[in-house]
Amino acid sequence: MTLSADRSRLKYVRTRRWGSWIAAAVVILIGACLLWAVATNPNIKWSQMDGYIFDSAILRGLVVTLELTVLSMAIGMALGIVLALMKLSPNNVLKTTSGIYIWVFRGTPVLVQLIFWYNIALIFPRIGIGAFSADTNTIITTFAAAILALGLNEGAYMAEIVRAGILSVSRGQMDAALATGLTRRQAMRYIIIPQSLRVIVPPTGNQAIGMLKTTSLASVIAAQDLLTVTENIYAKTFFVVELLVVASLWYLVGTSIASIGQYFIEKKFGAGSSSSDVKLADFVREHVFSSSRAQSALEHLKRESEIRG
Amino acid sequence: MGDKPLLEARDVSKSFGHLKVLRGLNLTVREGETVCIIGPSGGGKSTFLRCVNFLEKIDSGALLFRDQLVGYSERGNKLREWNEQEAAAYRVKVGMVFQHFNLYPHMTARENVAIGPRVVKGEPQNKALDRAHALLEKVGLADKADSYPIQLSGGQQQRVAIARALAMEPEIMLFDEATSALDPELVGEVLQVMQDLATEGMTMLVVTHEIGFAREVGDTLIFMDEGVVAEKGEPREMIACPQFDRTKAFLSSVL
Repeated sequence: MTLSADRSRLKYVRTRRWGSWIAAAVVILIGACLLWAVATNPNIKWSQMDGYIFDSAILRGLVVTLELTVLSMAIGMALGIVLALMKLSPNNVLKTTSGIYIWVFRGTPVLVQLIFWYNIALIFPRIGIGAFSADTNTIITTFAAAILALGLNEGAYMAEIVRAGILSVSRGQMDAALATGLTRRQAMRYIIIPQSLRVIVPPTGNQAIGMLKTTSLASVIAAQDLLTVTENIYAKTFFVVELLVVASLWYLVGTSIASIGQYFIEKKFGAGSSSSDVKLADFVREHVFSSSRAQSALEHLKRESEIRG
Repeated sequence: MGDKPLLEARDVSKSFGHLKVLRGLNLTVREGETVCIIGPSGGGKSTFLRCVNFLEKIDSGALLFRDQLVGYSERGNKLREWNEQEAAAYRVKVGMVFQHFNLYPHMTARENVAIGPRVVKGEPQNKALDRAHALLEKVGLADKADSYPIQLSGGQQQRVAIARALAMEPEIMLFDEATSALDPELVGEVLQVMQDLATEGMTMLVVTHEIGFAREVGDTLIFMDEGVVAEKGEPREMIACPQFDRTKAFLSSVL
C-alpha cells in the first residue's frame, strides 16, 4: 500500500455509529406505530376530550388536588422539621420517638395509611377533650382523612430530608458562629438553617411534585380530587381512556409548572454555590423526565458533595 | 505591653473519654502580649484554645479571664455553669480564627464580617456593613467585599475570617493554626495581617507551625507536649538553644 502523495487533500471521516442509528430508527418506527394505533383507534373518541378538559367538575377536582397537595406538604414540612430536630436532639426519649415514627410511617404503604385514617371512626367513634367532643365522621371527612394520611406520611420523609440538610452543614460553621458570640439559637437561624436549605429545598421540591401525583391515591376514599371526579364521570359515560387522558394532561401541567417554580426557588437558595448556574431547560428536562423521586434526591446529594469536596 | 495578666490557665486538665489531652497546663497571657504555642500534633494545643473560648469545657483546674473564672459564675457558694447568653457574651471578648477558616459560604465577605455585630450587638445593617468594609480594607480585601468565600483564595478567606473576628472588637485573639491549611505562597499575606495586629497591641495567643513568625513576632514562646507546657521562654533564645531534649528534637524537625 502506498500513501497518497498529497495528503493534505484527504478528508477525515469519523467512525459512523451504525448501531445507534439502527436503534434510533427502530425506536422511531415503534413510536410511529403506537401513535398510529392510538390516533386512528375507533374505540377512542378524541372529540369527547374537548368537552371534558375544561369541564367544571374536572376543574373542581383539580382544585381539590392542588389543595390536598399544598396542605399535605405544609403538614409534612412542619412535622418533618420537628421530627428532624427531635432526632438530632441529645435527649434519648425524643430521639427514639422520632425514630419509631419515621420507621412506622415510612415502613407501611401510604395507601394503607389512607384507608386507615378514613376508617378511624371505627376505633374512635367520638373525638375531643372532656365535654368538647364530636362525632368522628363529621370531623374526619374524606378530605381531612386524605390530608392526615398524606401529611403524616410526608412528615416521615421530610424528617429525613431536613435531618440530612442540617447534618450537611460542617461542624466548623457552628464553632465559628459560637466563637463570634452568637447563641446556639442565633447560629441555627442565621448560619446553619440557611445553609441546610440548599440541601433541603431540591428534594423537598421533588417531594411536592411527587405529592401532586400521590394525591390521586385519595380517589380510593373518594376524596373528590381530580382522579375521583374523573372516575365518577367515566363511570356514567364509559369514556374511560378519554377521561384518563384529560386527567393526565392536568397532572402533567401541574408537575411541569411546579418544576419551573422549583428551579427559581433553588436558584434563590443557591447563593454562594456553583449549583446556581444550571439552565432552566436542563433543569426542567432532568426533573420532568427523570423517573423516581428518591433517585433525583440522591443525585442532588451527590452533586452537592462533589461541590463541597 | 502591660503587666496585668489577661488570661491565666491554672492546672488545666481535659480528657476526651480515656484520652487525657491536657494534664495540668499552666500559662499566662499578659495584656498586649503575643504568645506563640508550638509543639507536635496531638499535644493539646487546639484543645486548649477551644477551652479558652469555652467551646470545650475543662475537667479540672481553672481558666481566668481578667481574674474572672471562665465558664462558671459563683452563685451562693456554688459554681454554676454559664448559660447560653453568658457564654455568648464572653465569646464576644475572645476572637477566634480557625485552621479551616469556617467562613459562612452563603454570605459575601462583607456579610460574613457584619453578621456578628448585627445579630449579637444589634448594630443597624448599614453601620455593620460599613464597618465590615473598613475591616476588610484593613486586611487588604476592600475589593473583595462582595465576593462569596468560594470565589476567594485560601489566604483571602483567612483574612476575611480575621476581619470577622475583629468585628466583635475582642480583647484577645486566638489563632488555631491559621496558616496550616494554606498553599505555601499564601501563608505570607496572612502572617503579615497577624503581625500588624500584634504591632497594634492586640493580645494574641497563636498556635502555629511557623517558627519564623514565632521568632519575629512572638513575645513569649511555649512548647507544648503531652498536654503540658514543656518549655517556655523568650522566642529567639529558646529557638537558638532549647533546654529540653523534646524541644530540641521538635525544633530540628520543623526548621
